[in-house]
Amino acid sequence: MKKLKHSEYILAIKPVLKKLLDAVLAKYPYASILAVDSMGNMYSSAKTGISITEIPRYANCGFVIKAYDGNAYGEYSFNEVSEELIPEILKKLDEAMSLKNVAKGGLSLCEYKQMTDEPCTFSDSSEYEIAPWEMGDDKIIAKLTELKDALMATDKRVINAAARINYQKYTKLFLSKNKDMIQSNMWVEAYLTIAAKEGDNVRDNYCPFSGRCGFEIMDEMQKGVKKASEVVIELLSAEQIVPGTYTCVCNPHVTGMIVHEAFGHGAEMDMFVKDRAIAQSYIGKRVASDLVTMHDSGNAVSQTGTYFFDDEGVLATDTVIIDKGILKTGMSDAQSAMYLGTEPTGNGKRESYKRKAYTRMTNTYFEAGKDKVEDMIASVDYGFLLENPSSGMEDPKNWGIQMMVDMAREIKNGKLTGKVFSPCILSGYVPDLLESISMMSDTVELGGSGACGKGYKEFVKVSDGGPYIKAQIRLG
Amino acid sequence: MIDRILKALKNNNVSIYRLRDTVTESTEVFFVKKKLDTRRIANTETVSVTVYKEFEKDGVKYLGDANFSVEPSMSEEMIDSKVKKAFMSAGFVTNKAYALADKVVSDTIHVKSSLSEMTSEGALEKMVEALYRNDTDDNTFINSAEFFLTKRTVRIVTSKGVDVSWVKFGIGGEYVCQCKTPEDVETYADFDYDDLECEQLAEKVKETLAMTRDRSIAKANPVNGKCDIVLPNQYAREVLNYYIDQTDAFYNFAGYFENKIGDLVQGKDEISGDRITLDLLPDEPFSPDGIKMEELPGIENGVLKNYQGALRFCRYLNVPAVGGYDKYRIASGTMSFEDMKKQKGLYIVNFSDFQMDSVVGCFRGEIRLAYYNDGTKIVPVTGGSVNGSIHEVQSSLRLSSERQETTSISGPKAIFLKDVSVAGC
Repeated sequence: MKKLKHSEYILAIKPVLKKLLDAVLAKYPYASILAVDSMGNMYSSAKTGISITEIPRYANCGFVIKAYDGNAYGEYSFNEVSEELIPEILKKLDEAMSLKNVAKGGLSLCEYKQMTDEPCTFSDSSEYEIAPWEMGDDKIIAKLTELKDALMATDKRVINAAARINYQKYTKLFLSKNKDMIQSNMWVEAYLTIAAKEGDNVRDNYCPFSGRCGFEIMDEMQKGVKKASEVVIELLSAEQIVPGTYTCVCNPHVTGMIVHEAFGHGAEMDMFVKDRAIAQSYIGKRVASDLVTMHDSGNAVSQTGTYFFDDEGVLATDTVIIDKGILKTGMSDAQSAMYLGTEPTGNGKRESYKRKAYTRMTNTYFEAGKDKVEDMIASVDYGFLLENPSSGMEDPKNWGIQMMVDMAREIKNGKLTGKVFSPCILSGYVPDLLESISMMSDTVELGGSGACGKGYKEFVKVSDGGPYIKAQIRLG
Repeated sequence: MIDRILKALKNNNVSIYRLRDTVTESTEVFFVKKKLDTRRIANTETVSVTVYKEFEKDGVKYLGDANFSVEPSMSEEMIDSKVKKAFMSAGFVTNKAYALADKVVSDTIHVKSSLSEMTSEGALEKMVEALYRNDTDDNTFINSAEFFLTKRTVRIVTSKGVDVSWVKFGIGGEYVCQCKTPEDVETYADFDYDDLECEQLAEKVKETLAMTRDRSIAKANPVNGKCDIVLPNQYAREVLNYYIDQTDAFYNFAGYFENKIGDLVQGKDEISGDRITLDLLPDEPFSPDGIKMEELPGIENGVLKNYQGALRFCRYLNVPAVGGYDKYRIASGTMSFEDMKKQKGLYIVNFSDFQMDSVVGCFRGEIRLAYYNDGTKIVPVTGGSVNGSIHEVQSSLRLSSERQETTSISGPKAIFLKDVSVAGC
């Protein structure tokens, strides 16, 4: 394994950023600077063509200053810096701080304390085996094309297929009066996608791969070809489910979506600040069956949501959100924690240096149980094995569930019948589902493909997962 | 920055390229309840550079491309290194050769907006006042809000002689309304305007507050099975997106749809509902390739008239390259919105999320608030989900005679769909 090197550009510009920080601190009692240099590419080979392109969300280089004026916080994001530009940058920061004047009429200003600034010096980076820049674009495209061709060749009903791999490698430097922290991380996500057609009936399927690693993940992609194709062909004969509440076994990807969408978002404590999360009133109370222990951990597992410190200079932690069914705490960014009088958990994340920090999840998952998957299926008289989650939406205020799942495999008398239903929507009330969990498998799997939004924007990288779970779920 | 990049391209013998320089000035304010929480300014410039390489392999001509971005702090050496790498990568991209967009030169276009005539702070002040204007009730109020005022200056330069630029303002954001009793509930809403639309925003907030009050008293959705539904506003747009995707060159090239120009897009059988007439509307003056965007018929009385979409796929389909359209106008139907709501079934005004999957043809979402008409009374209901197939409902789809006007659609305010699968609570 090799360690990532920090961005040479960030290291070179650091003395200028320190001068800028000093200049800001001469006027404001607290200030920090986050500098980001990230590269992120997408490689794709599809029947429709080949693509090598930067991903704007993951490839950018810039800075954000956060300052405190004695009452509240303001920020200025920019991507050009030099000693000569410091006066201009200060002027823009002042402009941002003066926007408090838009609060007129019956509106007022939030009052915050000054951010604590515990001394911390830190430098570390993640490891990888094969970096994309070492592998070479020709070899990457050749491998993806081989995978795409293998997918296309699996069945004559396949009309389109693609193999895609994305990565982001970033260096982040956090500076404040007492903090000097730098980290570099790389994550990779990959997909096999396949579409098949029979008459007017078109179905598609994707098989994701992800990790805090390098392009060594491409070795795993080969194993997904057969499964991706089998599923899309099965989906061609899928029926529409009869709405109802069923006994369901969820695979780790579906469990992950339940963890993330149904509960995780509601435990983001900036929602507590706004009185937008019902979870706030359930701290210390039962919200799930006693089989359930849930973590949000930026440092205890290695996946796409793993980092050393967050975008506010707080070291990553392993937070136990639910312990044996009892809600213990939420996760928080520094500013929300200060407002609530709690300890920050290292969950302050920005989509990029251009955006505000919010409380965001890292790697969120249920701990393993003790059951075997085959025993779980065998215990179902009539129900479904749920696979292939496609999307979901949070409802922190009312704990409503909304999740799309593209595959429900029928189980009858403890056996899979081979009959499949698609698409399905999971709905219902979160605690009802979590309290109905009666079995959990003995291994945990996490996945970090895609991106997590706060509502409909602010997309960041996370992962989620858990074991197989058995629960009562409303399907439509 | 453009000149520095052109120099690097020349030094590396890159003769085919496309540059898109975007300068974004964003002014942002964030409110919690009636208090200003955070204020921000973000000023950035990024040039997206695409380099192309023509090459031949086994007698086939290819035009490969690779893309990277350049930011102001980058040194000449960094830019040079990115150009070299991308030019080499483009040689591995075996996309069959196609013609890039032809030369077009234009003076900077200033897209008309009243936002250009005032300061950022002044515009935000007015929109903030509008958002909070109807927030007068202690039980139902605005929980939080975010505003993003943007000015984007875009310039596109290509090796084929394209040199166009424009300036466009916008103001968007989101807000959450909360009703404390009898049930503590909330409604999320967003807004997006090209102009200072204070009255529209104030009215939208008023409707959201009312919707949130109704959600607070809503009963569990009793509908299970097939049911007629009315979808208004953004949900009508989401379903109708299926038809703009029917005009998308990519979907047709990939084989998802097989409609040719002149084919019926709502099925070949007689239909009892409304035929779709859809015009494509430019959202920006030029496409990313520098093609001038013009208003264009997409579908007329259910018949496909034009493809739109990415340049490469239009060229492969041998149809005119007109650019990619996200905005469209759909002709009204004959059924009034009021008549739609009078039908037995669900009038669904709020989903947690609602999505149309054009490839599979399904639309689905979890219901946050609907009004259930059982033929004798109308009651607010919540919970459950909708899971429908456009293939099953499009022959009887009805479009309202009333309109909605947003930055992404000019079209019917609502659609009426028969026999859609609904899962109740």
